[in-house]
Amino acid sequence: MANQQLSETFLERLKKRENSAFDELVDCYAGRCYGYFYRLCGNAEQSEEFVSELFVKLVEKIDTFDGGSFDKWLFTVASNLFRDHLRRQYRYKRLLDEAADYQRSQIDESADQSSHEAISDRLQWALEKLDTDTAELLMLRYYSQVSFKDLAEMRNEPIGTTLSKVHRGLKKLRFLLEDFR
Amino acid sequence: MTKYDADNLSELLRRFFEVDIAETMAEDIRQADAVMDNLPSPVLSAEATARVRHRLYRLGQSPSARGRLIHSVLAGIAAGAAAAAMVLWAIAETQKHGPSTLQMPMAHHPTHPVENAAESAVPDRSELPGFTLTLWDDVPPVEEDGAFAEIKSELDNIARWIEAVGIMENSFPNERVLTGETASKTDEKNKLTAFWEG
Repeated sequence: MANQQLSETFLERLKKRENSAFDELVDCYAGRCYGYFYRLCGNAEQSEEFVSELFVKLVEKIDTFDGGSFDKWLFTVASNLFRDHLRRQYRYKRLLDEAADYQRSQIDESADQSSHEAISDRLQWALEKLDTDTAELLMLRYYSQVSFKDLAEMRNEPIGTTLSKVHRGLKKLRFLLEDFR
Repeated sequence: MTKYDADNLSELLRRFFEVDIAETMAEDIRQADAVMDNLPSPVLSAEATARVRHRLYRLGQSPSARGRLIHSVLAGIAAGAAAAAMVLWAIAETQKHGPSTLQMPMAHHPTHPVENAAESAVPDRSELPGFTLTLWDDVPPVEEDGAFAEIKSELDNIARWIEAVGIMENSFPNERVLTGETASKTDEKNKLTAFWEG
């Protein structure tokens, strides 16, 4: 996972919405962000949409960036984007529960198909066995590559809690990967 | 994973856990990281990357939120200026052609008083509040500051100007003209009114 460095004038150019800044943003972060979203939702098309949506949000909100770690800010926005998606999905599922049975069965069938497509490798399979919060934390740490201190700040929790959660999650993930047949 | 090394994991964990527990945890995390590093990561295709780039380029061409705000403020100012120009033009036209061009179909012509008030719902001119612009006549005297006195004097000037040009006296058209009545129709109407009133 290559981690390219941003140039010094990147932020100024991004604020001016120059194409060269967009190129740099895509070159540095598209791969990592795509990996993060793909590991969490398991769908290539949706992950691409997430990446696109994320970059648009970054450009629109660039004035709110306070000058700290750009990686931390970017992945905080990415994490919020994914959580918003989960909330919408949760509401959607609740609506489905109230819908007619035949509609529900149709959607369940399509969901089964997409989940079969998603389980294309063993990490994806293992991540689906974890709860969403743990999976999100592990992928956030892996793809953002920020420090534990920043990770704890991004999640608004004490650093000791983040350390414990990462340890438990990774341990469970390793057992799952070893059990994968 | 160079940034993970920067955390100095063992030392960080020792700040929160017993030494032996911290060491075990650090080892678990390192091993899991190594396993994950060896797994292939999903890759965004070249076509998808191009689509993302294209969307950003399009975003770059559209005005930013600040730009949109400035645009809307300028549009508001332009609309205000246009409205002011229209008002000034109307005033200039009024002064050029005289007050007779003003049409105010709100009141009756004073030379043709309405004989029966039930004929028309339009109130008589004298019933309209503040019509003569004697705004200050019934107001008890108050202390006036500069701006207040200036406004009052401006309003007095306007009232005097209206009186001088007789704008109200000459501008009201005959009610019959407004309703399109002919003399025979008016007679007919008067007869009907007399009939119903007995």
